[in-house]
Order: sequence, then C-alpha cells, then structure tokens
Amino acid sequence: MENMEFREDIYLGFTAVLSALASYYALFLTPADVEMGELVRIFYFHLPPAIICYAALLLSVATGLIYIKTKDYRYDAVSESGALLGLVYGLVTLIGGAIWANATWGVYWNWDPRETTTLILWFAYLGYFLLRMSVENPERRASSAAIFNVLAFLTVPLSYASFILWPSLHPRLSEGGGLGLTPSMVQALVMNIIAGLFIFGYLLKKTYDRRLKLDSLDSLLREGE
Amino acid sequence: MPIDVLEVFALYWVTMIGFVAWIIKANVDLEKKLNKKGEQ
Repeated sequence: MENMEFREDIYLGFTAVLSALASYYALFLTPADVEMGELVRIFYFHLPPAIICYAALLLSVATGLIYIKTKDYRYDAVSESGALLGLVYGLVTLIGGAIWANATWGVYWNWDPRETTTLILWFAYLGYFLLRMSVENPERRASSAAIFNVLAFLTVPLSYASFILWPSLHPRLSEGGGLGLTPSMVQALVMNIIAGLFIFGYLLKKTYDRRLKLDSLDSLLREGE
Repeated sequence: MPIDVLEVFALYWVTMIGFVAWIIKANVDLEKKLNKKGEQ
C-alpha cells in the first residue's frame, strides 16, 4: 500500500473517457421527453453541477466546523477549497438554469423561488471570500470564515427546499412535474453525476494542494522579512 | 439538437476544462516559486 501513489494521468484519462461516454449517452442515446422534447437533455448538464455545488458546500461547512474544534489549518484549506468549488459549480448551475428557463419559459430570469434562493446562496459564498480577503491574521481569518460558513450554509437547504416552500415553475423529479424519467434517462443522469464527481474530486485535490502551497510560500516570505 | 442544449453543454465543459487547466497551471507556478524561494 505504501508504494501506491496518486497517478494523475490515469485518473484524468479515466475521467475523460467516462465523461465523454456520459455526454454521448445523454446527448444521443436517451429519448426526448414527452413534454419538453429535446430540451430535456439540458437536465443532464444542469442537475450534476447543482448536486455537486450542494455537496461541495456541505463539505466546506463540515470541515469549517472541524477546523473550529481542532484548529488544524488543513481543515480550513479543505473548507476554503470546497467553498471555491461550490461557487464555480453554483455559477454553472445558475447560468445553465437561466438558459433552460429561457428555452422553456421564454425568459432567462423570472425570480422563480429556486432561481432566487440559489442566487442568494451564490452571493452568500461570494461574501465568504470577501470576508477571507479582508482578514489579515490567518487564525482569525480561518475562524471567522468557518463561523460565516455556518450562516452561509443556511442558504443551501433554503435553495434545495425552495420549490416546496413557495409556488415554483422549476421541474421537480419527485412528482414527475415535466420530468417523467425513463430508465435510460436515469442511467444517463447517474453516469453524468458520477463523471462530474470524478472531476470534482480532482479539482478538490488540486485546489487543496494550491492552498497548501500558498500557505508554504506565505510562511517562507514571512520568515524572509 | 436545440442550440440551448449545446449552450448548456458547452458552458459546463468549457468551465470544467478551463478550471482544470487553471488549477494545474496555478500549482505548477506555485511549485516553481517555492523551489526558487527554497534555493534562496
């Protein structure tokens, strides 16, 4: 086991093949939806980033809380990396959702509860990074960011449950509202979620590595002063 | 295939590939800086 090392080239190659297969399946092999027609294919590239956004932010808040308890900077690094990826995946979800909204509802943005609460989520985590940038002391920065993260994370269940709490046009899987998925549609969706998680895993590791290198560089610069 | 499907597909993949490329470059650049500092 000690000789096992992370082979980045193999991991990325496998992820690329899996992603290509998942995309091909979603674009060309799944049937069109009875109500939405071909537009349903947007779903395969909209739901995976939305799920990964929520997962990244859950990881971020959990590791932020572990940082508060342990004061181990590695947890703060994971927390920051998760929040950054949550922001990126959130942006893809928001813009992709707006394109889908325009195709089905005729407008890019109509302040639907799901759109609005996800936008609030995105700005809450933008605030998280503004807070990090504004605090100089590393320990205070990590602690205040972890506390802010708990507050910002409240927007995640709000975004998730928004279409239950308020009337919404957003399609819902549970009641089949416009999305009665066939088995091949579910397979395509699962494949794209798994492929997306592989990419997320890689991005999380590299974002975490970058943060650790930034910390090392920062301490070297401080020593030199 | 509707253009909207291709737009969302392109948005997702351009962002993912772009982020992968950026993070690899950022790590390589930082590694170089660290090595340079270490030598000094």
